[in-house]
Amino acid sequence: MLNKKYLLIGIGLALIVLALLTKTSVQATEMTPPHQAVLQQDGEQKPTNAYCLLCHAEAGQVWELPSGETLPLTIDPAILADSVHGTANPAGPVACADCHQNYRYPHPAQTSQSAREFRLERYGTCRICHEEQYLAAQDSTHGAALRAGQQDAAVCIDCHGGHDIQPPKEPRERISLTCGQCHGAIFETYTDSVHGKALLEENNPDVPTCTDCHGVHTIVKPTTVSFRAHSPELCGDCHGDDDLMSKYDMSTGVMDSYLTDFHGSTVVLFAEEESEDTGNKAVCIDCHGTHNIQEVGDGKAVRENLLATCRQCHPNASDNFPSAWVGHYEPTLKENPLLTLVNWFYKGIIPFGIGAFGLMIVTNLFGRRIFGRGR
Amino acid sequence: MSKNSAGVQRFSPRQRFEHWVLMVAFLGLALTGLPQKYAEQDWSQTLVSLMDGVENIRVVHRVFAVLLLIVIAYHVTIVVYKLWVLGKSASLAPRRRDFRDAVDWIKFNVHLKHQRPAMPHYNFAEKLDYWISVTGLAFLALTGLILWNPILVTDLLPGEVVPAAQQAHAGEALFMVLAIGLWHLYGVFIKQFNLSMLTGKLSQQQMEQEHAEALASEAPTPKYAAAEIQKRRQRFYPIAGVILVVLAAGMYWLLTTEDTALETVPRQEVQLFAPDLNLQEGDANVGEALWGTLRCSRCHGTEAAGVPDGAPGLRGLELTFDEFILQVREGGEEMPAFSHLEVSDVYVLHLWTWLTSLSAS
Repeated sequence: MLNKKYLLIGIGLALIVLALLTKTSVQATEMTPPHQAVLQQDGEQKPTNAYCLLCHAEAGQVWELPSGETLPLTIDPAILADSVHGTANPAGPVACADCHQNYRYPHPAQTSQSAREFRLERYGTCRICHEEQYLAAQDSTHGAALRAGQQDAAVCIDCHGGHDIQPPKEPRERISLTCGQCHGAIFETYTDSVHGKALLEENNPDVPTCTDCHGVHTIVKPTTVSFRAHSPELCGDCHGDDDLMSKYDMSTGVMDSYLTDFHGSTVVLFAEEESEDTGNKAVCIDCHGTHNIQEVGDGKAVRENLLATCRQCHPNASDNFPSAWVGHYEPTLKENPLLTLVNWFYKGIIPFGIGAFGLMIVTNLFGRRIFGRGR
Repeated sequence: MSKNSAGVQRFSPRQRFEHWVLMVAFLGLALTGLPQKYAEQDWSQTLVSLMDGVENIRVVHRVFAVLLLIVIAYHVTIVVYKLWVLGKSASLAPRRRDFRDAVDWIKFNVHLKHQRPAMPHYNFAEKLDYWISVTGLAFLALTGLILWNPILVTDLLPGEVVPAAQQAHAGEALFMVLAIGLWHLYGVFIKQFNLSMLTGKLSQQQMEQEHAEALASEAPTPKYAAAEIQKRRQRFYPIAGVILVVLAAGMYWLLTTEDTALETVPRQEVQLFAPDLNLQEGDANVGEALWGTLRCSRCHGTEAAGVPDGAPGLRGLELTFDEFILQVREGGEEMPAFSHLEVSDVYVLHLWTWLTSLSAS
């Protein structure tokens, strides 16, 4: 009997080592601690899935909550086996009792009044293995809303599911569809945007899904001044990336020209302040939109809206005011002769003039040192 | 040239005062201006946070700019007074011999010449300092005023002038800071350690090296007799006074007519959850999708058939749209109220369209 126990532990350890050596998927690397540690908790023998299914496989069982809602008590083991916690799990299948630690029979009485309350009581179990993600989510805007009493704020299982958890990023559009479950209006706007269309209609691997801009578990409140002031960095992650933009024949000059511009340099300096002052400094999204971003194309539509856009912050702007914005592209002699000549002039005069001064100073220093001149 | 034991008198107290006021304005403008040009640099961000943020340095930059405008007006007035009233020669005007002096000075440095050039009261190095400052500061003032009033400027000139002025302002500022920092500071601290801007005097030895010609030459005879100077002075004061008052009034108007770059209206809040699409007709399919998305189904059941002893079924709804939206907005006994931020009008329309299209259960 003793030998058999050691054998089992040995096999278990071997499996862990094997899993660690062969783990390729991201999910496995994100997980702490390994499941085996959970299984050995308290040193107690936990029931096998087969044991739980003696009761929970029986069809048609429901639990009626005091709210009148019902939750199914019947479990389809195939669904669990097909999930990320099932046979595909690099750390080995997760057992019922790993998550449902109230497995002792008869089960302790449930106090949840509603299905939502039950889910809010249950999701903490994810923390056993996914502590990092769990804590990040607690710090997120969802976590804050939950603590503020907004019971509908998303918790782990709202986005990932319970028994039927699938890889959250496969296919990629699953990400945005998941957020769309609650943020329906924004999702619909997004589906009409240049990013949303490319994701949902063309399976484009590069366009941002919701989480690329908002974060995954650490979703911060996007309506703060700080989020706004740092938002050009989000756009710049992709639109300043030469390799990525060249795939779509797009210019990365948009970021450079923005940062050279009055608005861009203001926002960069403002973003470094910890100010919750009015965030009325123009960022990318003020002209291009957020979830409804459209293709700029020849820029005609943007141009037509430009005066209205300027007037959002400069109500006195007159008809010719938008022409002070020369666009995102490198100025050319043909398009912006004055600006181009100014740039050329200073590109020449600064190195030439300062170089000339430097050389004259060098002759003086040289003369002083070698010939004792200049004194 | 008045000589005494401590050296040669070179700058009057008035000139020295002007120099230090200009230096304060110049340093203040450079310190608050360059971080705006180099916004992405760490040192810029450190400087800006030390000076209490970008909005603050924009105001401080303008305060120093006004000081600079005053110095410019003062300097121009003095120059006109000296040239036209006192009839003095333009000792800072560039001459062809300045170029020759510069070449001779370099040749002397590298031992191609044995004699250093005998240079005038203001030598080529000082004229370079002066003309870089005069042209640079005038140009910076002009482009700065354009940036101060972008709406006014675009009313009068092509819009491209504004970004061109911005680039020119930044480029000229950088050039000036580098040129003054390198050439002027080398000239007055390293080439010769020169305290004449503090003491007003330069030592005999330094005068011989830098201004030998001025030392040798006699003081020039005045161009005008005392009576002529008096006559000119009487004409100069009222004219200069009127021009300065008009200029000051014009400048006051120019500096206060708009505050585009300093003050902007607060950004309008956008309701992210309420796209107001002004739809006249709802879509039952969208309504059905929204039923789950908006979680109506949690209380009223996934099929809108209601829950026993709970929320009522809503299939085959008989309420008019106006009655229905009122119910949604104001809530009921158990039903919470949903504002237009949570459920937009058009969403309510979709939901109503779907519910009324269903057959009653």
